[in-house]
Amino acid sequence: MSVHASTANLAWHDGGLVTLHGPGDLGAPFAAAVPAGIAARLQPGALVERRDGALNIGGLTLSLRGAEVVDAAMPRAGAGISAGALLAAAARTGRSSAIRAGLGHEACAAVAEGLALDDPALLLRGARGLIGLGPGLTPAGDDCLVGVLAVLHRARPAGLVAAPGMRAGMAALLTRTTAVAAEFLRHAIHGLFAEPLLALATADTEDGAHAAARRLCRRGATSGADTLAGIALALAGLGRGRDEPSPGGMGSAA
Amino acid sequence: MTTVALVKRSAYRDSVLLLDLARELRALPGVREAAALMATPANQELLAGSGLSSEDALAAGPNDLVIAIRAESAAAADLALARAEALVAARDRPVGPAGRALPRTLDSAWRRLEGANLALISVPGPFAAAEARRALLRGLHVMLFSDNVPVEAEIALKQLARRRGLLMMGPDCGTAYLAGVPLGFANAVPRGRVGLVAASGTGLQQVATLLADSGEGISHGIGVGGRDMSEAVGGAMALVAIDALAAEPATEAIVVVGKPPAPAVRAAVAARLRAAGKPAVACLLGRGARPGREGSLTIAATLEDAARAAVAAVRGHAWTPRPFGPEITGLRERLTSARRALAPGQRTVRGAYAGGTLADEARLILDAVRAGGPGVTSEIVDLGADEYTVRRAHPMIDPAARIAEIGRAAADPRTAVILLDVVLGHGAAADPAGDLAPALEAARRSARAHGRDIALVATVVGTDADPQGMRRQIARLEGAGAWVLPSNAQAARAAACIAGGEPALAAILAEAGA
Repeated sequence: MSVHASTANLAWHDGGLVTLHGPGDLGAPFAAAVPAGIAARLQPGALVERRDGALNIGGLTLSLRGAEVVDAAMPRAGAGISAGALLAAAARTGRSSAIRAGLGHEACAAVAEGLALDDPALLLRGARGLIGLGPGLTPAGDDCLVGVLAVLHRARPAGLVAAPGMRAGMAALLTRTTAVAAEFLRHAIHGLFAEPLLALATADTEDGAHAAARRLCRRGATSGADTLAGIALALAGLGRGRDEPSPGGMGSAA
Repeated sequence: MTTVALVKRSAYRDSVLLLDLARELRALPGVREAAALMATPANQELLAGSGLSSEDALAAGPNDLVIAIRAESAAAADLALARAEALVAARDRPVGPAGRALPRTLDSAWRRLEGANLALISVPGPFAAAEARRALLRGLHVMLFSDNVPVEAEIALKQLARRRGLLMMGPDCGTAYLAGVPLGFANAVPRGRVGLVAASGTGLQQVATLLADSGEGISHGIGVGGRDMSEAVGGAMALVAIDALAAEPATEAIVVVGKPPAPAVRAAVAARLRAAGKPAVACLLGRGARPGREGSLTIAATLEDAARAAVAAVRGHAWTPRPFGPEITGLRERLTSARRALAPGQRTVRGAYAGGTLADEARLILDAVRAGGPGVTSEIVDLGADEYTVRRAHPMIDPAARIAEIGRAAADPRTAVILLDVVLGHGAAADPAGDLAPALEAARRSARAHGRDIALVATVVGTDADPQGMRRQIARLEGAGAWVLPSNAQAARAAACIAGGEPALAAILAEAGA
């Protein structure tokens, strides 16, 4: 278990992670929101036991009874706002991203090309370049790739992400990054995302999208902005593939 | 040229801190390049491409933090490594504004701050009572911000505090001012001669800001918690607070604000206020609360009237309840114009509130209008209530729940008015009006797209000295088409008049005794 200022990551028995953080939207699809201050009370190395509907962590008991369960699955595109409106909402946050500033531009180009040509090998090549790249516990490249996967699961769940070998190919790359980033990507490959990202992708008004983009940007020091960069990258790639001057509606890109 | 690396196994620091750290290292004498990254293969390639690769860095894994430095000499590299080690260690400890590591326990804070006499406690409910008891036993007054504290624990804590002559403010005490120091959600208001006792945060904030607007300040604002005046707790801390303000020379008048107390507690509070030897005002919101006088005690029916009665008391003026908006230029024309833009079926006031007491006050005013018979309906939602804040920050901080509520109100063809409070001050959002304005503009656009209009009515609880700036916030709301009134009571009355037209205005004037 690792403990940070406001979060704690529990090493789960299946090799994955469970993140505990304070009240609010779930910041990860493998997170649980618990009362404020709980995470900081935990000690690294404490044994975690699950028994009788409760977690016992080094003497602290967290009851799981009555806990609300959140569906972290990205719904297939419905009547959401257009991709252009989504990008505009993201741009209005004004947050900088290492990816937007050019970090990993060759990898980004490969991702965009892979999306435009519907080419799994190109997408995997780009993913290999992005995974583990840049600053942060979830490096900027990983956050960007989560944004790309969110768009793919939203717009084309039966397309590239379901292509033969894609999930296995992505999974094989996860040893190239940090444990926390790998967990985000492992879930993203299967279409599971943090609540702020789900809120943005499914926003049905431009104002709602802007508010969701701002909330997403408040996640982590730079992670939210890097995820938005991934969304922009994916929408641009898909738009080019359809030979349109600008990406069409996220909800109509399937 | 020398390249060295500091590797911290299974360690992580915030990416912005790491970027700052690398920038600071690059500024050291003799340092040519520096980077601080997780040692993933991709980042190892980045390091190699920047000439920052080294044996130590290459031995690190994806979950290790590596700080790589290239310097002109071994001595410069060693100095930079030592500096990196110190910077990482400093960032392991929470640090306060003075640059000292923050204490991690109540006891260590108490030992460090000689002469401290108050503890502000905000920890999860299950731990809160124990921390409060610890503070009281050390002779500290307590402001307990936490909620979800059992009532039995509250009673025991307040009994302990009384025995020791201490204030036990809360649990669930969101706002207090002690000797000019604001605690919790609090506005920037001047010190002065009115002492406040309040069971609720936003009630206290409304009265304090209206006093400030009248040129008066507060001596102390003592929050007692929403349950203090219940039958179980018996007004334990409200009575202590009244006694304290009665004995305090700087306090010339006392105001008590809260929701309806238990009958026995109401009687005890009123008796204590009458015996205080100073003018006193009670505003205990509830149906049937009629304004009037009981000796030195003034009963006010709204928070605005409580503030006005207190101003009159300290200035030695006579006070009468405030009729609706006599000084608002063109009030009747404005109401008529807003009503004319609505369809006959638009008769509902939809309130999306952040402040619980403000929502209660609006609800009471609108219920009274409805009882007068003009066909107005209202749906006032307190989005700061516990059921709306599960897994969410309070709406005074996070606008998401209010934005959604505004959207729902706009989509309802019965909605005549969207009514809002915007609470400023320390602890509140940096730009609450700016957060809500796009949603308000969208609400009007949406209504007009469906061939109707919608009125937006708001009040801003704040002062120009607040971090957000009262005038800036009002201008932002007015820019979005909202009518901003100077108090919550007036905003609720305006909303009722727009929804109900002339009959509602007549009912309100009758209710206010004008």
